[in-house]
Amino acid sequence: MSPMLEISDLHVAYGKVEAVRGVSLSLSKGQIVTVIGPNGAGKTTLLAATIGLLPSRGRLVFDGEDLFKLDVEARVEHGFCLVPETRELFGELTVYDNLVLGAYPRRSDRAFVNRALEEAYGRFPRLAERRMQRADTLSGGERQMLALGRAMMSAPRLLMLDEPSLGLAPLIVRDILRNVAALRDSGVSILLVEQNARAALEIADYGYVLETGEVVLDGEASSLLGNARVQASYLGGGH
Amino acid sequence: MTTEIAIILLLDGIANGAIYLLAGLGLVLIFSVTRVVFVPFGDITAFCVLSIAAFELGRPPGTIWMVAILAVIATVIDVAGHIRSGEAARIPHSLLFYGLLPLIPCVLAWFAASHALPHAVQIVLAMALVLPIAPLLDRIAFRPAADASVLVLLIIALALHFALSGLGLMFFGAEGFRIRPVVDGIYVLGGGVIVSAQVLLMVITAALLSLLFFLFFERSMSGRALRATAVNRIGARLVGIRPARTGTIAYFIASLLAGVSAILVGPTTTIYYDSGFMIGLKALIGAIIGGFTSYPIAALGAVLVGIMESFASFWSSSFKEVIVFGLLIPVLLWQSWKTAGHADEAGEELEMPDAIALSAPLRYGLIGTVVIALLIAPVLLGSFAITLFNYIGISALAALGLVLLTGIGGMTSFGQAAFVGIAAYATAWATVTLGLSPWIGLLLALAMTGLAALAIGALTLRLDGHFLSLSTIAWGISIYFLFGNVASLGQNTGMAGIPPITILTMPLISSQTIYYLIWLIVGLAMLASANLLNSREGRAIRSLRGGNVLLASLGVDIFRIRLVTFVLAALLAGLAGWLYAHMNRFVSPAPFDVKPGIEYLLMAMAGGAGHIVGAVAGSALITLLKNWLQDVLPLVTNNPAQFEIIAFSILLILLLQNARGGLVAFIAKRLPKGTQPPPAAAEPMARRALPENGTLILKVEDAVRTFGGLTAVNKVNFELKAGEILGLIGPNGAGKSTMFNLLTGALQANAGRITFLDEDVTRRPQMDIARMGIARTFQHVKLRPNMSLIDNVALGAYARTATGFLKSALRLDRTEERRTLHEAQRQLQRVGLGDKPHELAGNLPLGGQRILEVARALAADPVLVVLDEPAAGLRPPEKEALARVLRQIRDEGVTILIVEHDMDFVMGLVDRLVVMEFGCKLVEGDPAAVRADPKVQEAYLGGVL
Repeated sequence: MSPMLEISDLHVAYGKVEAVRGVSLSLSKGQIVTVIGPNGAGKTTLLAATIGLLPSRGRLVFDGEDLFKLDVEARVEHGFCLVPETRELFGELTVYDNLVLGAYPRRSDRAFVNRALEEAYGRFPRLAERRMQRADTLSGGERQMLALGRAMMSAPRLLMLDEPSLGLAPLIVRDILRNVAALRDSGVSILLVEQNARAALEIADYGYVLETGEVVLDGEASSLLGNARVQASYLGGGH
Repeated sequence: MTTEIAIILLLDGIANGAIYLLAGLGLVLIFSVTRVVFVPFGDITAFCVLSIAAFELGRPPGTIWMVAILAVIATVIDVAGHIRSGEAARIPHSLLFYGLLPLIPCVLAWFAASHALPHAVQIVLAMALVLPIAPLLDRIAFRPAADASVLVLLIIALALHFALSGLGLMFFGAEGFRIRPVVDGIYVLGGGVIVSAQVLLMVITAALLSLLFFLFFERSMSGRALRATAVNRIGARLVGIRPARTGTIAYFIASLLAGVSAILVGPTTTIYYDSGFMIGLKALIGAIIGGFTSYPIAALGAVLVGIMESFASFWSSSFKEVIVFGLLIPVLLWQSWKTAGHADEAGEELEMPDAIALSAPLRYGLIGTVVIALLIAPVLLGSFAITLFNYIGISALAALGLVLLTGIGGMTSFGQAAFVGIAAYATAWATVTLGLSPWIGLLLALAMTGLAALAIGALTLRLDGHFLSLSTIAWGISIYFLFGNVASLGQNTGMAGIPPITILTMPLISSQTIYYLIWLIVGLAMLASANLLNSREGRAIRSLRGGNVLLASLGVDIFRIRLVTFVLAALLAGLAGWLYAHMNRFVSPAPFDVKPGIEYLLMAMAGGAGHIVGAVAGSALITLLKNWLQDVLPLVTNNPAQFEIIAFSILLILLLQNARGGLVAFIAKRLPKGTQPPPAAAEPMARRALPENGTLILKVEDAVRTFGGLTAVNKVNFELKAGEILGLIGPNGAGKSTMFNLLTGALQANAGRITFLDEDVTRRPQMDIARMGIARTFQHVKLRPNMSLIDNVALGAYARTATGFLKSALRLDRTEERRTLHEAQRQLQRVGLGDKPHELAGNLPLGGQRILEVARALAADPVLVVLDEPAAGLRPPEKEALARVLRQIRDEGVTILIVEHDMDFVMGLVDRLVVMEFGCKLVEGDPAAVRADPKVQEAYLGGVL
């Protein structure tokens, strides 16, 4: 089966510094692939370049389409979504507005938007309670739920998540990641970047370990969990 | 004032306010989506009125040509853009959207003009004609600079306005027009008050449109998309909204609003080709009141402006403008106060100047050549050329002020011409009215300029970024109107018969004689400025662009530095004004308007705003260009004056889009670079007595900090003893950075106590805490990339030295400066960066920059050094080098607090660890014990599911 997402030999540079150096990974339909690694490894840069917010060179193919021909907005229209580390919510707009805007690529189909909204409220009841509140009044966990909910509104085929557990209490992280696993079960392919290595590997199918811009290890998620080097890195190797 | 008059004035004010309201809505809309302060809004309104007027007279309106030209330019730019980025497929779309669509109303108008049209059709056609203007201007001028700062966009907007006025005069002529009212008739309200139907229409239209606005933004998807783009551009892109497209929609709506404003204002006011400026500026006040974000408040503000203007004109019609624009300043202050503390960065508003490092022989050679050339010029050149040189010299002084203030200090001022004017009028009044000597006039001119600058600066210099620049427009215009309205200053006719300057017994009447005085003063001013910039205060001025947090953390009184720089710039303008008055022997308000103010800015920027030499280069460039255009244009066109304005505006826009470094930067890049020797040895500086090892120096008790609903730091406690290295660690989002900011004073705690060296520092500002002995580094390195290593480190020693501005300008600070540089070199050597002290900081790799920040912190002779995530983004060898430096300085007695999340880095380095998680202290103790603690393992490894 041809991969949903194929990244080959990607190089991303910030001025003189190469933050991502020749990274290759692939993601099949209906999989969760996780990229773990210490801070400063280049994980966020990798995602930002893949969605198109940063210039890069190499090969990026999404479901057979060469991504370099499409700008960010076009990639989103093709069903490719990113929830960045900074969430990038519309703080001054309500929860409702944020969600509805998530469906922007499908805005002409009113019925679709309403259905997607109901699904989002069903998945995240807390958001339904706070639907008329401004997004910047939500707590950290609720903001993450909103970010995730907004990303799901356009029914993307591939979702990239950048550190969804960031700054969240364990109970909430469990909730979020359970939702992520459920998304995979409903057919969405997911590229998950995480600092919380164990939690990520426990729901992923496949994993890549990124250090200083390069992939140093990859394999089935279950085997990575038991890998001694991964164990060691995550206790002492920086977070 | 009777009640009747008051009511009439009130209604009048509301009616005018309605126009400003619509304009204000348009301005807020465009600003919120594109960050452009769309000054040309008023011009579009004026053009719409003039178009309707043309239809009423059965003539084709000049707008046809204007739109056609803009359409052609925009199409060419768009097509060229597509070709360059290889998207040839989008060319037909460009041709259609930017070429064909705008031309349709043009063609219609052309054919329809000669027929007698019903009034309603005239109105619709005129509006259709102006509808494309704003989106076309966006494509031509703003979109190529989309990532520029608000300030650059503002300057582009101003330049556009001037270009449009020029075009307006060409296409519409100088005649003013009124149009027929849309509705006729009057109504009589209760109490015998009469109101015209037109006024009622204005108020109702404004209210209706506001309602529509509200519905559009709150209920429709497009409206939501516009708001989203305004609130978060990146977020908008991530959901598939194209900011360029929403920008275009915003501009269309603005054009529509401008058209409606035209219908309302046209019947009640005579509109000329340049009436737009005032409409735009007054709407701007409303927009500013609304903070550029709130439509209802902007609307209210606009109506208030209308009412204010109405009453002001009743009380004193000549000072009406002064009052209205003067009002802008308290409004800006209030806005700035509201947003205080939200963002740190004064930031890089106009482009960073490149450093020039010419070799000494080359530098002196160039200076020598120029001096000799200047000395012999009057002998070789004719009188006309010398007069030109004189004007160059005078404007170079004003431009020099802007180089210091704007280019280096980062504070953009559009009001430099106003200060030139104050000095010119002061000396004119002293010599003509009071009959005093021109030298007394000089004293008076400088005194008045200085005092005015002090007062204005004290009021406005706490504003940041574009608020500050907007305020300079406010007082610049107010002062200009003041000149034109005060009877004893001759009002618009000005003052003539100003005597020449006399040196000993010789009057400087001919251009050759005053030439030497002018250029002597220019030379001295440049020398003093150069001395100043190479001194302690000069380093502080050069670092203003680094942001408030950087300077405060170095113990610098930012406000004082800004104020002095502002006054210096004004005094330079004052010198220019004095010379101008006594050379020209005549003053009038015209040369002191905002337009000349922008010209000075253009000179500084064209020459190279970051370099003292740039002032002369730019002044020469622009003056000669103007002169050449004045010769050439009359041969080419019947409207030379307008073309000159247009040409300059285009030049300014192109400069801002492409070459913000100016002429000097352009040339300097191509000259060979020189090297400088390391600083000479000097006496070491006095040092603080460090507390004995083991003494308690820092105590944090139950510190709390919240942000809205989020508690970032939740009752954290810990202590720090002299001579130890403490690590504050935790996962991302644990609250470490917030805690760090509480310690350095960048943020204030909501509750709890922080004690340093037995003093309560919980509420103390950064500057004080820095001076008490806490030096810091930054997670995102805050160096001055275009300053040398040694200058960056010398900045750290600011609080240990004391030489002020005057001594520095007169170069009386050499002893202290030698000691400072020697100290800086010592710190560089201590951290291992001592071999290339004159290297530019921006050329160092990240690891080196982090270490440089440590050197800078050490130059402050601190008791405690706090480091903010120093290992982030470093490669292993760089981390090792940093750890070595830190261990070494600890051994020399400096206490260190490191905030980090890299466990590996802190493990071998610290004596003790404090671990934070979700804002609370999780565990504290020695590294090995902490690492083995199951709670810590849980926090770092996760293990949630």
